[in-house]
Amino acid sequence: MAEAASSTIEKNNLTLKSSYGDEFVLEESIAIQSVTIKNMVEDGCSSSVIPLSKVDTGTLIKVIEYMKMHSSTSSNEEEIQNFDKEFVRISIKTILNILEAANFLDIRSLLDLCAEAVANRIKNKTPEVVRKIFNITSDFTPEEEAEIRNETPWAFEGDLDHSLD
Amino acid sequence: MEFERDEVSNQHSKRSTRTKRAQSPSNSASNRHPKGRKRTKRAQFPSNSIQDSNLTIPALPPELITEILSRLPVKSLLKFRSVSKSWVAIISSPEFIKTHLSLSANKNKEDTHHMLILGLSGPKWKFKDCPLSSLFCDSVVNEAFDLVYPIKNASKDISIVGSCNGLILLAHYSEYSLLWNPAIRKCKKLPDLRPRLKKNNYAVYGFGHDEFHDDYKVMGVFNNYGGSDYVEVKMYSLKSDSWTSVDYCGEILNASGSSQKMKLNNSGLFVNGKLHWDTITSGPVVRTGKNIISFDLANEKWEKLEKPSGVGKNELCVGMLGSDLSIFCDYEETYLGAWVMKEYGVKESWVKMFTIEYPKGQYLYPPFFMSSKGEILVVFGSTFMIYSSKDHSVRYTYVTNSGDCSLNEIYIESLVCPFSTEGRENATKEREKLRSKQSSNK
Repeated sequence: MAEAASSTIEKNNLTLKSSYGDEFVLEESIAIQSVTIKNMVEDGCSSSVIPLSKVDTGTLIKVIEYMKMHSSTSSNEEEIQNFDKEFVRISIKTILNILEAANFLDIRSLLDLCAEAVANRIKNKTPEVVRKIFNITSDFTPEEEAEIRNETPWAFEGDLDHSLD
Repeated sequence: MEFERDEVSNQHSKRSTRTKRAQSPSNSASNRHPKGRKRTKRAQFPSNSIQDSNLTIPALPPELITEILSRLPVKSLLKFRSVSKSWVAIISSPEFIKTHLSLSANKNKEDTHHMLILGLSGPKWKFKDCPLSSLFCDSVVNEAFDLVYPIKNASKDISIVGSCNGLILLAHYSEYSLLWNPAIRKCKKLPDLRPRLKKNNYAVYGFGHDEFHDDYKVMGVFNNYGGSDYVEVKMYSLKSDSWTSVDYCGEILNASGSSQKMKLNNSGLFVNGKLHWDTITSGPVVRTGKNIISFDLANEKWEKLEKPSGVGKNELCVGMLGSDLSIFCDYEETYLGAWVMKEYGVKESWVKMFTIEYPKGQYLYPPFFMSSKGEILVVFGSTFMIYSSKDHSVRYTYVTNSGDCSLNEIYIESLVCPFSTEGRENATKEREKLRSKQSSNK
């Protein structure tokens, strides 16, 4: 019994290593939701540890949490929907980190979820706040910016959200 | 079929080469559709100015910026054009406009980008709109918002011919027609088409998108009220900004051997790349025909589709339900029945979807709008009635500021510009500006 179990584990587990060097053991069937990892497994590069140099530990923990939930057979559609809703109730910066990781790991559904969540959070914000969130310095001259604003002044009306998160 | 597909892919590759040339190499990933993307090397954000080291988040690659922006409402996108030069370049690019449109139209489960537009006649025409999804939501207080209607002193009779990809075509008989995108508040008066049959003509229009040529097209069919059989057909192309003559469908229309001449009726319905018209006898006794006549906007061919057998004498009109062709029938002045062609072009796929009992003293007429959950909305005057086909229940929703509307239609909020060439030129200009700036930075 014990022997059989340990060999199954050996066969089906992968070790993911974050950019900080932390290692996480994950079932292969869960990890291959990431097309990047799936391709590595198929190419036979997964015998040892899979280094994810672009994903920090905190982000990797969130990504694994997501993949575990979405591969779980015991949860129904409603539970997954609720999970997704809760999953993105975090700071915009954290969502952006997960979005980048989802892009690197090629997990389409996670990328969609994060992009949708960021869009929802920023849609009512001012351009100034959006620049801060995305770390962008305006490259417009004041005249150029005024010109753009004057093309659609009504787009700048209404309740504007000035918060950074 | 195979040939056509080849043509399409050819066009695609041509287009993408053109795109690439107009862009800086590092920016090329931003405008590609996410599905076609290969993740080899991550592109750097095109602007140098954003590499600010004291903040924790490094700049996102442009493909991810595009992923986020393509999920924003139109108003937010217009606002965020002022964020930076690279953002305005992304938002103005034709590729982005298409990605944004297809996400809004298809992937949006909640239909949040779908708007109900209401037209109110009076001394002056007024238009209002309201998000469609919230009308089906009981917990929401609905409000209609006044739209800025592009024509001042518009007191004449106008009709909403159709709505496609965020553009609405309004027409006033054969006098003028307007392409209007209410979400970006842009409007274009189409050039006069000066039909030869100036007076006493009976005009039907149709409006849709020719995917094959990526062009928006308007059809105008002008019948003479008098005895003459002469029918003039004109087609407008937004790309060429001109009207051309098209053959009439006389042979197909009158092929059934009926003694009475048939003609096209009502506005054309845009389904499956084709415009569809109901057919009626040209009088004196008006009866509906057995066929629906279609016009393919890409290959400019007329065809006919058979209506379901047995609806004939009850039929009110041909319409649409969701994106399917449908027929609405009246049963003993008590019920309205809706038939839908589930599989386009297959006569056997016509099914009766639902029947609604008329509310007291009120007949129901299309348009009918279907929610993502299959509920049906019908608007008459200032009444918004919702029918659930699951339990056959009817409920009413109240919309403040709705007024007493005489026209209603659905449109998708999109960035599609009613003067397409200008949109393209602007985007190219923005990109060129950006490129010259980048090269001067190097």
